Amino acid sequence: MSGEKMTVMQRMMMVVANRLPNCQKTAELVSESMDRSLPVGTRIKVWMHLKMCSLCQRYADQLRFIHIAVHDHGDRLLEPSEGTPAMSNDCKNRIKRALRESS
Amino acid sequence: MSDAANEHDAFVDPTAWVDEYGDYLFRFAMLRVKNEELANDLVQETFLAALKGKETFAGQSAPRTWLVGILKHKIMDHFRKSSREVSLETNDGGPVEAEKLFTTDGPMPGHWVDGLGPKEWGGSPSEAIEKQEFWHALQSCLKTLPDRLAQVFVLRELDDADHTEITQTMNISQTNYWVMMHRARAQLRQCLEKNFYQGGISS
Ligand SMILES: [Zn+2]
Repeated sequence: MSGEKMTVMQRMMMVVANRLPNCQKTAELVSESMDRSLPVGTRIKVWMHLKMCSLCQRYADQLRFIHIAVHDHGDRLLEPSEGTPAMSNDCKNRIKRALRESS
Repeated sequence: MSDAANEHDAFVDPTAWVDEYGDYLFRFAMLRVKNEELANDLVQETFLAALKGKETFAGQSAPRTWLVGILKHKIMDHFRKSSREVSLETNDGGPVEAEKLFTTDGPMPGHWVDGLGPKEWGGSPSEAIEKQEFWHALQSCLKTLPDRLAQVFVLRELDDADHTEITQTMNISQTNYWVMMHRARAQLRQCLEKNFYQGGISS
């Protein structure tokens, strides 16, 4: 009984899965959904794919995290660090000269 | 001396702006144009424009915020001018990392290539954000993006521009915009995974 039920379930899942976007398309749509709201049908398909695919779900979570980091805490990217070049003194002096000349 | 007094002095003597805000503005520009010469020029133009418009600045915001506002405009102008000449496909740059992540053949194309799917990151996001190393990794990952991808990404995520404004400024189609954002995010994610989460510095 339950075996037969599983087969029906599986068959249904197969039908659904075939109509869902693949991982590549899902990744694209996850990105797109961060910039605008998707049509409701598309949103449902993406949601179902994420429910069935742990890799894409993880991808979506990580993208969301990167968005929060950059969007909400992006000021930290402007902190001075060893890797970032600073403005040279030559350039600073050049700008000061230009400022003096035009004031 | 109080901050307010400091700012007042800087306001009276424009050359003091350069010492006070030059480095910050330079870093701000470098994050967006990635070219030292150009960043210097944009900062210089910003200071000169600020000097001209000194009267319009009635202290309604902090001087730095005011200067950043001017610089932002200069950068957008630069993008507008320079994107007129180049088409997307030639300037999109380099191998398309985002496309290598997915299978192209087999019974079900478009799946994650073995080993290239996202890995478990471990640790909590809020812990990562606290770490200096995370920001260093993110900074260097941004530098690995092709120029135009980085610009579009920064305009969107850091400057909060909406996609209509970005497509107009960068002279790209809507469709190209979605593609570029997808590529930028996919590549950044992968780079962060490699440089931060698997470099052993996340824990
Ligand atoms: Zn998937």
